[in-house]
Amino acid sequence: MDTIISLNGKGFGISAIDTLSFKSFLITKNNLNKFIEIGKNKFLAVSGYPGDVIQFTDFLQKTIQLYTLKTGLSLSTRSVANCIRKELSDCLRKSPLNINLTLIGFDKIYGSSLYFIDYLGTLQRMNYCIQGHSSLILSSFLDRYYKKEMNLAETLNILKKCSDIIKTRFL
Amino acid sequence: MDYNGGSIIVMGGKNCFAIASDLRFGIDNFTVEKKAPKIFKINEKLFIGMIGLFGDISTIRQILDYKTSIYSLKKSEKIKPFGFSNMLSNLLYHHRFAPFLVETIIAGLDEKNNLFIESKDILGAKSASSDYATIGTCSESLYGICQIFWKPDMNGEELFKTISNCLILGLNRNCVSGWGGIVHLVSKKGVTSKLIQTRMD
Repeated sequence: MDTIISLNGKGFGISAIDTLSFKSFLITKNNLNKFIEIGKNKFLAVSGYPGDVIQFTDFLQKTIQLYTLKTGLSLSTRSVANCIRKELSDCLRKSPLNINLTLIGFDKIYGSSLYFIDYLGTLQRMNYCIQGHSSLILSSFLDRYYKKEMNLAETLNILKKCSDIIKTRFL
Repeated sequence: MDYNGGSIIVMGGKNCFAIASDLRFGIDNFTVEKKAPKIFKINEKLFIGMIGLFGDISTIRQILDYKTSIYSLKKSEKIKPFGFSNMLSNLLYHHRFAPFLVETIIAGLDEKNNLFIESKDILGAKSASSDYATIGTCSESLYGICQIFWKPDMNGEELFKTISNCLILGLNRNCVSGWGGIVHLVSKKGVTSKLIQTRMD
């Protein structure tokens, strides 16, 4: 399972995701881009079964672009997060998709916000979140070292330390 | 119910009620977030608390928001607790064979400021009470604790102390609920909300 580490900094949001694509025990590609941009100020970091990911995120990206073209309004991060949550929640009882996402967006009014979205349709706004199996290892580290309103250099430092920990302790 | 965790207590007093929940959001035994209350306000005198799958809690909350807004537009008045409770039971039973995995509790004051406390299971079966009600992972132990501490006709301050004590005692022994609590005290004068400190683990 992939790892997504996301943090909220001072006026920005930052996210790190691994770039491996694998099929059971074989690594098929090691430079896969798993970030999807939505509009100008939002992006999604997605993890899950590749077929489901592409199908769902394509649909989402184009639906939101269509809405923007039709109405001329740009959606806030909170609206996009709730839209994604509703789609996943509707799929849950019809044809479940095994996708976990983190949405990071910047609005002029609210600043940067980070949303954790689960495959069951759970939505939670957070300051920092980790998805994947390495959440068990890295959550305590971030609890200790995360501070609000960090600048870019400090967040990059934390992300580097996280990747060092994963290299030591995780497969 | 144990997948995401949580517990809620509702206690009734003299023309007022208090509703309290914990703040933990977890996935199985892993705590993800410590600021996730599970009580939602419908209007000034009507609150709903929900425990279960967080995705279903959000879905039900959005459906109820929609239905209560349509009601207040059509009838030009706020929805009353009895009607709201029927609406929720209807919604839950509508999904009889693929139910929303959520237990709910409704607490409100009707027009004459009489107490209305009702808890429901996942299919919408009602269970009205006049004193207190609890749902969630430690609901059994909370029922026992509330039975000892609840007294009839408590005023706002006594009610707040009692419900906070009961919540803290219940959360102490349960690992899937905890990380702080929030209490809303509702009377005809208005709503007071306070955060309480519990065992942070």
